[in-house]
Amino acid sequence: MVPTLSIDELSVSFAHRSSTVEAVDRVSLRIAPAECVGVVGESGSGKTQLFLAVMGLAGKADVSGSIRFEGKELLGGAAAAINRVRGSKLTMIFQDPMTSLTPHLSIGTQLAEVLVCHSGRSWVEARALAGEMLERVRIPDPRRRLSQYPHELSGGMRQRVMLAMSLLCEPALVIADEPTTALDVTIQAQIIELLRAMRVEAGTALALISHDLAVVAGLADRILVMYAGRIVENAVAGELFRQPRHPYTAELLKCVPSLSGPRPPRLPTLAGQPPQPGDALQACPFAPRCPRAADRCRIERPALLGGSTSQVACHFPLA
Amino acid sequence: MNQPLLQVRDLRVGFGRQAVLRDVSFELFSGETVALVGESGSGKSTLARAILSLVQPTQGSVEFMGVDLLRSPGPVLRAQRRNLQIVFQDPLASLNPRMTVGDAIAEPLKIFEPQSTAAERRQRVAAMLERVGLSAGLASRYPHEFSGGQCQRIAIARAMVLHPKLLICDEAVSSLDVSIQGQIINLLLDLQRDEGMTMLFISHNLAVVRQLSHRVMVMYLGRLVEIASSDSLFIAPVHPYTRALLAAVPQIPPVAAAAPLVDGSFSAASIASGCAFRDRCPYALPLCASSDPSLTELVGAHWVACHRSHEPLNPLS
Repeated sequence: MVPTLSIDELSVSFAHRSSTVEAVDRVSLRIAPAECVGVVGESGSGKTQLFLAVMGLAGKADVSGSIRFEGKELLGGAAAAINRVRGSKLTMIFQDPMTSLTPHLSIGTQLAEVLVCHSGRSWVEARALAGEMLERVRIPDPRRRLSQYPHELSGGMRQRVMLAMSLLCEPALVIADEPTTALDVTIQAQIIELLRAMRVEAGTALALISHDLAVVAGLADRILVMYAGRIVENAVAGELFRQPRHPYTAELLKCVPSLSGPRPPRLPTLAGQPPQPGDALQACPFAPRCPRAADRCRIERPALLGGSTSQVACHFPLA
Repeated sequence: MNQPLLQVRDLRVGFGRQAVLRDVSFELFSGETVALVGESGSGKSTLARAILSLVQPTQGSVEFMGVDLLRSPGPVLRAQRRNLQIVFQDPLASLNPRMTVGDAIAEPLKIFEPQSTAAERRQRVAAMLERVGLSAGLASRYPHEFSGGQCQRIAIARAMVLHPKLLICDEAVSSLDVSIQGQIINLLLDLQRDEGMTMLFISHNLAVVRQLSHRVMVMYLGRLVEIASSDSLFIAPVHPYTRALLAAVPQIPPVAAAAPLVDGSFSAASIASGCAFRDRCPYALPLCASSDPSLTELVGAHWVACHRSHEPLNPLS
């Protein structure tokens, strides 16, 4: 079976003063058809840059390696080739649903435009299909929304519109970058429900990027943990929470406050802070904060080793 | 019980039924941490601003250490300000980019202790930087040279340098990564233990609130709908809104989710009369549309504003 997305040795780097900053550092990953992969990491870990590169939106960054979508190479190809899949078969939704929508076009026009461009539909047809899609993402009163403008909708509704837009051309993969981070917790629960339903109904693969492990926990089949531009752990979701193998994953999980269980007088914390762009990194970038670090971690870069569903980049993994 | 440090009575901001805050009454006691939770637009930040006299309430009173802040002449209010400090959500935006962090932390001292010498202030700034976990040598640096977590430490140092009696944290850890969030919460807990100050901790993150608050107040569309000790609120929430809010928090490992709440309705009708939550409430009765439930004490110190608070309601399925 051809993976929906396969990325090999992808690096994304930026010129910073006189040196270069590696935002994404030799990352390889696969996403199978209809699979939901969670990508977690703190700010600056490279999770967004990785997927912006997949969408061809990395701007001035230097992107190297290979990105294949349904077997076809996206990197280095003609712009026309990527434009055919981008926005139709390969779509992305972002954190802030206000800035992702154009303020001066009606919702109906913005949705219909996708179908006019990608599927060659007439505007009338496209508008009707847009209305149906709004119904599928459970927006109340969908026909009326078509003539409304983004500012007339709440944040949760705008995110539903974005999701509707991403689904119009029956994509093979939807990339959702922090889709619920800007929303209230009750609205977040609705959007998570909707993403879950969308996976069941449409069989779409989903890359769910989030800093919030708990949001990813409810949806993902498999989770990738990123740190300093690298994937440090790849595991089946249940396994990752039951038995994290990378010390970073384990420490991070301890930091997540819980709604049940004992309340410690002090919260467990991770010492130090994640590396900033431009910081000199040790062979293992987590070594300065790692309780298990040894000399080897400062000399030899740990490779991401293991089978396709359980990989860890650590010289001294747990378990 | 001892005298409350802060007593807010019938506070209203804005006019009529469209008011941003309506009939808000509560007390804060010395040395406690009280969390204020609710969705965006519920009025949490407006309440913080009203306490600090940064917005002018249209009705009610805010009594702090026995002084009515809303009816005090300017000089009296200004004198009280040193005891009331706030830390905001965005640490970089709340620091002046053209001021060294040392000068930023020294500013409150210049204003409230004008007789202090520059050397004294430098010494206190250095001590404060060390106290919040930064090296004293960083006083001459500018905000852009620090990470978000470090900027929040600086904002806390600036708020704490006058040893306030009340510290308001308005989403102070919300923009921080989870590993940094814990460090800042621990810092606030340490400062509170050492200084004995009172903390009003505004947050939308219920799991964080549970870790550090003694009591919790839940706000919905400008009204307090439940006030309880942290233990009883998280174990036995009563108001349907509180229950829905708790049920919506994603958890590790994932728990089977209850049916999520429908979107907020802000129609004029829903706030024109009755309980503002009724359109989203799975337990609403005809009574809820006509009569606005008032905050009443259910059992010891557990206050709820709901017509059905005395009934055992079935869990949401």
